[in-house]
Amino acid sequence: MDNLEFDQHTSKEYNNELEDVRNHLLKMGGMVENQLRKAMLSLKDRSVELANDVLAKGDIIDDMEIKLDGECTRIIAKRQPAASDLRLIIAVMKSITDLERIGDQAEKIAHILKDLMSLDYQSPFYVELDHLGQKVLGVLSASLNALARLDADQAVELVEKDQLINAHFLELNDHLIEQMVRAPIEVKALLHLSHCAKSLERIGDHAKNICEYTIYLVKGKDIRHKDIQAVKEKLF
Amino acid sequence: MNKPINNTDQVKLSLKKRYFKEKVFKSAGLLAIGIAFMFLLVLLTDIITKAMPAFSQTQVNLTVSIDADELGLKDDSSREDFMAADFRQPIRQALRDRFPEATKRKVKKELYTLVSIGAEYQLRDAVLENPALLGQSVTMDFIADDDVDAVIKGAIDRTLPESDRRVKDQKLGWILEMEASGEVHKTFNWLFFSAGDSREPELAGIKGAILGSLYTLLVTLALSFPVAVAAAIYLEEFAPKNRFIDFIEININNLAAVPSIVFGLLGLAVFINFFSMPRSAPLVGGIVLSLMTLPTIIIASRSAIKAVPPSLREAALGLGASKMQTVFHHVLPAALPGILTGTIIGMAQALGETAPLLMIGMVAFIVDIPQSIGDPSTVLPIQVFLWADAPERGFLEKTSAAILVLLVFLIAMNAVAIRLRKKFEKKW
Amino acid sequence: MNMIADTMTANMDNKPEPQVNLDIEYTETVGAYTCDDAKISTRDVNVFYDTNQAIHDVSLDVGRNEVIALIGPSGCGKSTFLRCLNRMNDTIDICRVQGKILLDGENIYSKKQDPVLLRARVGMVFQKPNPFPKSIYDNVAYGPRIHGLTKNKAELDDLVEDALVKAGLFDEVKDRLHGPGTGLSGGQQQRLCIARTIAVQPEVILMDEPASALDPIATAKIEELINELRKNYTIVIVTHSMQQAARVSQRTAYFHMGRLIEVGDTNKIFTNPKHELTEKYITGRFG
Repeated sequence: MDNLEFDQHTSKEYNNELEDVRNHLLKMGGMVENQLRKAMLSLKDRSVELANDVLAKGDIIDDMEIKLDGECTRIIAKRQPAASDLRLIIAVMKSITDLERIGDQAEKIAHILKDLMSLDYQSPFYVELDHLGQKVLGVLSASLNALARLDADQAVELVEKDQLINAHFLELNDHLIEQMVRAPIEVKALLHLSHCAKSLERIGDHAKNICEYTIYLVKGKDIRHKDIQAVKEKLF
Repeated sequence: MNKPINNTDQVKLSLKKRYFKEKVFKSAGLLAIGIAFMFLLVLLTDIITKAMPAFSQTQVNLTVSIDADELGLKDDSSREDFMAADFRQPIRQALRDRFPEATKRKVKKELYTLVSIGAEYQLRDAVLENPALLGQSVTMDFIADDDVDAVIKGAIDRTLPESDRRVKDQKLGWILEMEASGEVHKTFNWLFFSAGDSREPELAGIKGAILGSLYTLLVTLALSFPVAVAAAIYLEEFAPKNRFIDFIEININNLAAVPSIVFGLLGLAVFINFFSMPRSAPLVGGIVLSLMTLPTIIIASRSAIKAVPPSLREAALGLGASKMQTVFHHVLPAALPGILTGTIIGMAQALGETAPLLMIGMVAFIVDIPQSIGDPSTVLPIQVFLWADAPERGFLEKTSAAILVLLVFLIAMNAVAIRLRKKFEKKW
Repeated sequence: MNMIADTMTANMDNKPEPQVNLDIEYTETVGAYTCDDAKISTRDVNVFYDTNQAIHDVSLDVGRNEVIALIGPSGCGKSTFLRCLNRMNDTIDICRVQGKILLDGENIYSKKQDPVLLRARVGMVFQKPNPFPKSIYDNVAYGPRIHGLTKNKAELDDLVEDALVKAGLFDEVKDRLHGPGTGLSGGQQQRLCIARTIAVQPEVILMDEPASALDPIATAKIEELINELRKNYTIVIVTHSMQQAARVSQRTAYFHMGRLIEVGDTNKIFTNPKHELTEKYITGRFG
């Protein structure tokens, strides 16, 4: 079942509905990705203007979530999807929740930046945070790609990559704590940075969830909370 | 460039044409029915108007003195004595008394033909019934001769010159005189329904033919219905599909198309000559006619059985009913209305059939009323044929009356069948 | 984002032409066709109509007290297969059945097996409600009567009532037991047919699209009834409605062009079928 085809239904209307859902999901994914990219850029350039831009666009993502949820509900009510169609709808409904949360985290980062700017805090940690951010951004982008291509192989690799992000986050957090010990006066700013890192780590988790839904969609198996190596051996 | 086609306009245009065609077809159908109805009406009117006189009969009122000595009878005379006695004389005497002017032998002879030759038997029967009449003078109605009957019913034109008239002036004078005095009058013709055939039109009745037809049809029904239904059930439900069965099917269909006279020849050769069955009997007629109706009933029954929805069979089989139970509990009751329709068509055919019965002698002149299926008899259509063939003018109205009786018989049969069908058609 | 969108469109556009005529000539049945406690088990069943082969090598077990749904497109042989299970195909002259069909381990197509007895053990409910043109009581009593299941009128009365109660019809018809069976509504008629089947006390009930002629409420009642009956009977149901198969059955078997393509747990079949044809059928990708 590695080549899922959502445009082969007898009902053309159904084809269109499913395609619309998919397109909207990917559009939403693209917007969320953009939000995160902008948030990271604002962090890197200390640009309040970019941060405000991120905050302003948050509502659009929320609206999209509600709209997509409605579309999915309608398809369930009208078409009683089964098998791959059912899995697609379930994957979409779950993915949009995660995407919405990623959007929230991006807004959170934008908020933190504005707070940091008001503190007028300068530090090399911005660069380190940016490294983590780029990594998370890459994973998110690849996850959305895997979802778009229904590429379970890539998705499973990305699930594994989440551990690297977690490790990176812990390492960065350790550095921040060390700095807090060293310079207690900077604690407030450093806490902000730590929150920022935590947000990025959470985004990584959401990206991982999306990968898991992709695998569920393609392979029909729920791999959440399972040992990734065992899953890999069984499914691939 | 073409005019843009508007669907509605296009449809509207064609609509007019289509409705017109429909109207034409409707009126053609109506016309066809009208023509058929008109023919039927003409036919029925013709038959009924011609038949009506047959249901009335002219009676001549005479006062007869029954002299026991002259007849050679006593109060204690046996039945045989009565039968042997000459009851003609009292009637002749009564006629001579009524018209004393007739003295010449030739004239007297003419006078005697005022009443039917059946009059003496009327008188005899009356005396037999009531021996006290012996030695008394009785006034009673006697059946008039067919010529008198014809004059009274107006079938003979009284204004014609004597040479062109069947009834001569003298006789006409007597008739007119009696008519004027009320001694000649018309009554309902019970005799027509209670007597057998006769050479004399005024004495001829249809009862023999009715009973003959009835017996014949009973034999036909008793033979053909069970055989045909059994054959139809076997062929539809049980027969294997092979060449032999196909061959039988083809033959049944062919049999339905065989000219009926062939069945008569077969009956003559096989039943009468080979099996020495009685000639002219309803038994043989019934057998021959059942051979003829068998294919009709088989074909109709088969299509009726075929029309039973398979779901009914499946339901019964699915419950574990055997094939036989399925057929007799469910298929046959459901097919019965159709089978009855086929049967009635076959029986109606048999009722009207003449040709095969001619071959087995049912065309013979039979006066006696048949008492059983072995007695010689005739049937209604043959009676019609016989009377139509008879030279006497009095048989003309009898022929039409017999046709009418035949039709009534047919309608009665159909009514019974429709009643039966309604009863079985009750859907549960 | 743009990159993703592009890949997406490209992906959509470059899809290969749909392969409807899959080569299923040598397809093995996907999924476990055997059961631990099989009431009916069929092995390599082939059915021919004259020279036309309608069923190809179907092996399938039906577990005790389970509802198994046979699904598949029209003409896939699911009804033909169903009718093999109580030898209803015997009534069709040109139909020939090969292979083994065992009911409790006995071959129902052996010479010893009497089809009339078999049909008393394996009852059938048909697509169109087909009550006899008799009273409701006589409809239900017909089976027990012909098989001589009851000794007297009182026993028969009890049996009829019991069957009607089990079919969930008794309360609706108790005042008109001697009224016509054909006077009931479609759904009631079908439940009457089920009651009629139950009255013979079969072990297995075959249902050939029992709700296809009924409205949704009547259908729901039939489905509920099937669920109830499962406790006492083994049920094989053929249905065109996939949702119905999903709702009433524990196992589902998918037939395609006379072959058993996939069989398995209903939950599995409807969320994650293994075979591509099953997937296509249950997601509505066949014309």
